[in-house]
Amino acid sequence: MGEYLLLLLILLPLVGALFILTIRDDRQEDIHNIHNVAIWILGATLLTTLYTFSLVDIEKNGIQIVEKYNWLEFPPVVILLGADVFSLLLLFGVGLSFFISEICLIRQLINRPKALVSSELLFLGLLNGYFLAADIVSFYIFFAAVSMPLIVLISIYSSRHRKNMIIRLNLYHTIGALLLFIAVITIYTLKNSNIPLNTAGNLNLTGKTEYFVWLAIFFAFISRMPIWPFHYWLTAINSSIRNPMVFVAGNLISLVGLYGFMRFWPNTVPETIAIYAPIFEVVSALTMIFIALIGLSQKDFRYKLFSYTTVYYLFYLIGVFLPTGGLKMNIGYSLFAYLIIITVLSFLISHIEQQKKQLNLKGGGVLCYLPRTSVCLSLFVLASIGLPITPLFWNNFIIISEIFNHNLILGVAVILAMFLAALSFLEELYRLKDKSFSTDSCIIGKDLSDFEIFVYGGCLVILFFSFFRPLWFVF
Amino acid sequence: MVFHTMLLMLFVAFCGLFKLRMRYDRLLSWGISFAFAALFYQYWQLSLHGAEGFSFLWRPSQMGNITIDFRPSEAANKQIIPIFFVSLLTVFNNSIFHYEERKSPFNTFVIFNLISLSLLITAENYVQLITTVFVTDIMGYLILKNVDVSHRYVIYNFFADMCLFMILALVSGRIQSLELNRLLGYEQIGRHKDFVSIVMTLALFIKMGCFLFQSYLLDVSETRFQRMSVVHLLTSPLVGLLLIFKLLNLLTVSDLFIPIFEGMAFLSFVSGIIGFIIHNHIQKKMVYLNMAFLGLLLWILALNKFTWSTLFALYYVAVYIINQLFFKIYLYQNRENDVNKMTSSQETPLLIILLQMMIWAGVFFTLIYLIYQRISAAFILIGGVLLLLVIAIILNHIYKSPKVHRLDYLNTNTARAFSFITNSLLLILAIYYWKDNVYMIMATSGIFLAVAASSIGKPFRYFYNNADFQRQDFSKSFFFYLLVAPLSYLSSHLWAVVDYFLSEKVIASSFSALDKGSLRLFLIVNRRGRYAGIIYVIISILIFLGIFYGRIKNG
Amino acid sequence: MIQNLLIFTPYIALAVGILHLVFLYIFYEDRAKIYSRIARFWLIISLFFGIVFYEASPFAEIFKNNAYSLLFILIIYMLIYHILGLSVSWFSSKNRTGCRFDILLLAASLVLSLLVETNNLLALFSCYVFLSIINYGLVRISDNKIQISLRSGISGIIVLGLFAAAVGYFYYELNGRLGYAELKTFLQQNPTSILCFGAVTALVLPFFYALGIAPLHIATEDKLSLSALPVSHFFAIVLPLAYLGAFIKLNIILYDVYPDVLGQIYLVFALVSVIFGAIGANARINLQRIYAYSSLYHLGLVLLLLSLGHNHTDFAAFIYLFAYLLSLNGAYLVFYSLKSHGEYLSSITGIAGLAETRAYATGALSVSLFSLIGIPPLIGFWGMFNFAYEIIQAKYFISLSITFAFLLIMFKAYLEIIKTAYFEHKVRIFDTVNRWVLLYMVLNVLMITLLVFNPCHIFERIKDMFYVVFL
Repeated sequence: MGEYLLLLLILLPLVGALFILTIRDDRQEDIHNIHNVAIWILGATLLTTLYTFSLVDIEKNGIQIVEKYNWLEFPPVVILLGADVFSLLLLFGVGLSFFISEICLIRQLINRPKALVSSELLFLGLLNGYFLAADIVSFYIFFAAVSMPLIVLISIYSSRHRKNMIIRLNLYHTIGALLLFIAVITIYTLKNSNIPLNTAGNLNLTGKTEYFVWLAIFFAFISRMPIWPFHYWLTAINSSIRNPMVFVAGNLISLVGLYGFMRFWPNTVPETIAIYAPIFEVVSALTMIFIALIGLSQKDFRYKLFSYTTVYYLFYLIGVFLPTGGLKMNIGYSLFAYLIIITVLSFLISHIEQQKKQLNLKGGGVLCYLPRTSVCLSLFVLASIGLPITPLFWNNFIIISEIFNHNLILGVAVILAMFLAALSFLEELYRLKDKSFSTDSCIIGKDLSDFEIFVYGGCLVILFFSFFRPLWFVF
Repeated sequence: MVFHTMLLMLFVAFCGLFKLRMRYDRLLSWGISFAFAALFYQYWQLSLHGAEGFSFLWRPSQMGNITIDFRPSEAANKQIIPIFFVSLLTVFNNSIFHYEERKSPFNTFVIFNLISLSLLITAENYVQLITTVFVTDIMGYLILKNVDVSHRYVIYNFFADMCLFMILALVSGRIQSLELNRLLGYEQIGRHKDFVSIVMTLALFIKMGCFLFQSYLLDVSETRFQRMSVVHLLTSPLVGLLLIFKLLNLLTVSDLFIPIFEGMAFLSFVSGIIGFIIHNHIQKKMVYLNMAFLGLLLWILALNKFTWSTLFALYYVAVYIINQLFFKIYLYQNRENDVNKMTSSQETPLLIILLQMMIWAGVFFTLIYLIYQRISAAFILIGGVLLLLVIAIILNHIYKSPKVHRLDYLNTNTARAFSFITNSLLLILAIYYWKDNVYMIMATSGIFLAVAASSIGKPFRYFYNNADFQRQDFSKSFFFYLLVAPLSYLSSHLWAVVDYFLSEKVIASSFSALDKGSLRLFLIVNRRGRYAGIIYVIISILIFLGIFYGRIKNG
Repeated sequence: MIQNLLIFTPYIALAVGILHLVFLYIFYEDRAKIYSRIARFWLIISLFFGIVFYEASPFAEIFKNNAYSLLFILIIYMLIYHILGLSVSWFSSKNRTGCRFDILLLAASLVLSLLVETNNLLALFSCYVFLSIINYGLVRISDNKIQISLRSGISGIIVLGLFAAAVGYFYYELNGRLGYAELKTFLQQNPTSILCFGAVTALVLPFFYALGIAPLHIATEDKLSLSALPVSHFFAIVLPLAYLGAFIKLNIILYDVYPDVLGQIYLVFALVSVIFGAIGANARINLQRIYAYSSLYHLGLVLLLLSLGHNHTDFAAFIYLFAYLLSLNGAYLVFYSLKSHGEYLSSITGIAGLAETRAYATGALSVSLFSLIGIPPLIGFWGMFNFAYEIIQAKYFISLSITFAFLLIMFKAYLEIIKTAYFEHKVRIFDTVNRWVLLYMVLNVLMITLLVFNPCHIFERIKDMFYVVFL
């Protein structure tokens, strides 16, 4: 039963996407069908992930399940898929995030549901492939392929005014993909074969080749991260996306870059580019503070959410670059909680924006009419800023302590950025609860339904249990 | 046994979360109060017999096991019991007075708060410490139940908690342990000691609401009186105080700590005194009065090498009682906030309050004197006297007010008598406890009354009528102009100046210009004339032959 | 005797098909569907016999049938088959029969198969001339015939003249024996002769011209953009493959004699094509012109691979072209669906808001564009993978940097197309898409996405067939 399991994890969502493309979407029943199919597929993917988890030893490091597929004979390429605890954790986190999104979307009226759901499943399938890729060629394939459904999603659901930004962002991502492509082919050519990913860090390259290859890889993954000054387009686009699921998918772009660093980058930075490490740290820290400050001034909650996600991704990135190999699982556990929190917040914000429109409230105070939403939002905002009973708190504590061990000023900058990002959340929460904006006590907004409360409550339970035992769902 | 007590406390607290009708809610509130009282007695007995606590493994980690510990030592009980007692009084007063529409949830939050504080006092690792600090902050927020008022409370506490988080992360990374008892090791191997100490001290000052950081407490003063008192005395400021003991080893790694601490204690005391006199809003006065009490207590602790004793516990209870007495004045003045508008009523409750205040003054001075005897610092006595003096002056302002209008009758509430009885009993108990100093108590009480009756305080009335003194909040302006305004300016302009300008205008535009230039060149080269084809064929032939010729020449 | 006759059946079938169409035309058949069916029928018959007799060569000294030629013929015939099928809707909308088009395509099939099979310069030249005539005939189907004729005519004649001159020179020097082997021997004996090399130039240039390699691309650009859609489709997809097939055979001979010189020359032309192609794609607003310049870029990459001159690089060039043509075919299929009030749209503004009502067409267009860029897991990635692998092995790092830099510039042009389709407001009402066009679109997308997985080891089989040319 262990054979083809990893391939199944990749193919399930892709097959689902294909199936959904064949469904008509001109009637309400058909739209329900689309969502139901997606939920079943996502549920099946989650169960398969859990089953795969049960086959690995969670105490061990390293890849434990490997699948080999002969792809080409000229040049010879053997595709390796491999799973370890970290990749499975991310797989589960992303899958759960999409599952929650799909469940929350089922009762909403959305534009072009077929395109949304099929692109989302396609994206998930390719992202699963990315997490499971265990050799450099397949790693590149999924790294580049993941952009495609994302471009489609962003193009359909982003604001028309951002079209030039989208063009630039796509060009920028393509530059990154090309750089990684060249680096991968160079490595492939030098080694005369496709090498496993876990040996990519021990390549023993020399001279200009080493310099070029590692720089190319570095910039390839950086192109997915919102690092100043190339963060602008990603920021402008993501903050303009109103569909919560597309927002969640858009935010996973940075996860692609982060994961790339965690997998491909060697534990010890090669000497040739180690001298640039301080510059990188400075730029990352400055970007974090910069983005957090801008998020503080912005009135749009979604922008604040985006700036928060940016700060956290860069925080994890700094954690990855520390000269200690022991943080991977902490980052993984923290990411798991982070993904769930971001998903729920995205939907809550979307709900609030809809209600603001319906109740014609331009300023704050909308939560005065939505008590359930107010409670949910408060809890998840607290969870996002590091409430101690969430896994985000504990794992962030470990990462920050290592950052401080490495460099005090960097640590202070990171904390400052996280504080500003959290502060912007708290300020917005207060603005939404500010009674001085609320005009008529007779207005009743459409609050969260019992079903939605159940879903969000479930997410809180997951977060709570994850704090006590990170892999409590592994049987 | 201690574990069972805690469990029962949790259970009692959860009972308060039931949503019942008003009448049943009151019954439930009383029930909770009595149950809480029984639990207090039980705990007190257990502490006397040195009962063992409990410890649970929460989760293992690479830095050591994270446990939930509650093993109260004798020193810890000296902190837990007075807090327990004050919480008990709070719960009872809640049941007595009708300042909460729903009493049971209020009791619940107070009990949760107590559990959290107890776990904070007995915490042996960072995680438990930080978690309990957060929980206490949240309980304070829930008790306030007011979005506007709690805004700055949340922000200030969050900032302080982040500083705490940051420093503990820094320290744990260095000493690779989560145990609080390993903090001593930081002195030897730690780096950035000044930074650690100063930031930690700053965090504690913010939590305590010391000089310059009292803005959030002033905001809290706009909520109901009792809620304000609970937040002042049982949540963040108290947490700040308790953290001094838990983190003392860390605070003292730098030589700068003691001077800064003593300086802040002094400034808090002085600004507290001044603020108490100046402001006409009684709740704001209480903020400053508590600040003055805190300042004095901090000074005492510094002189006593940060060792807690029973006297300090009693000091804390005394502060709670004076808060209650002022609350009753406010209540019986028909919930009048403006001292200027209070009337010089001779009603019985107000007279009883005055009497109680008198006795309280005597007891308080005795307490201060005993502390002075222990520590031998003149400032303590001076501080205590100053406190009593200003309280007397304010009582003069209230009881000798030029306004003589008739007070409306409050709604009938026979339970209020219990509050008077409780306070009186406490004061009598105090007199009995210090029966050797009864003359001092009586003398101080008499002097206190004389000062309150005299016209010493009359000139200070000037401040009540000065709008500038009433409106101005120096700490608010200080932070606004130092932090908030520059931050807002920076954040709103960063986007335009750096983000948009650099990314969009510079980078994108330069590529766009390059693009346009190359297109123009292309269109020139790629002209579509009739003879273009011929020319290109000729060029192609020339390229062929040129390269061939070059190759031949080079051999 | 019968056996010899049977060898000719593929060609006879095509000839019969042409005659059949002529008869139909004479008897006033006016349905385009019928003409197309007849043409396709005879094409399939020809293909069938071509497969059966793939190793049997008519006039074996001149034409050599083998697996290599079969490979090209298979692909060419399949492409022509589906162009014939698609052309029905176009001609029907213009109330034309498409008879001339079908006849010319059958004739082209015949000539193209001979072109790929030939081992003789004279035969090569003859096929080239016939093809030029056929192309001219196809061009005249369009409404812009005069414009195209003028521009392409002059340079085409010059190139033909050069080709004729070269053939004439070699005919004279080799005493009428114009086989590739004889040619190679002669050239090896005169490696430094400038006259010889001039003649070689005159042999290579026509192929550059036919493929549209810069700076000889203007005529090709005109043909692709101004011709009727089915004609443009044929020019864009079928001709490059056929010319490449013939050129590779010739190049094997020439490159052996002038490796360094031709390598450098091809490199220069390749880089110029890459640059012109990328910038030109951004300079145009007509969709077919944009794709014409895109072709220029991709053919530049093919030429870059040919400049390396090894067996595996030649095969990589073929793979790259194959992947590219499959992706380009996807774009052309979308063009067939871009109809508004019976008019086929060719400007980029014509696809404004396409995503709003034609999600599948936009999706197919996006997939083809991504494949052209080489984004995995599409077929274009496989071509790009082979290209990059060969170039890096040859250590042509500067060329690689230039090609990838200009790939980004070209991608910008593709993104403009995607932007227009997704972001602009819809200004037209699009006509219903023909179901066969839709079916072909879906099949093409499936091929683009599934072929890359190497089902049934198809790539290994293709390689075996291709490598026969080196034997």
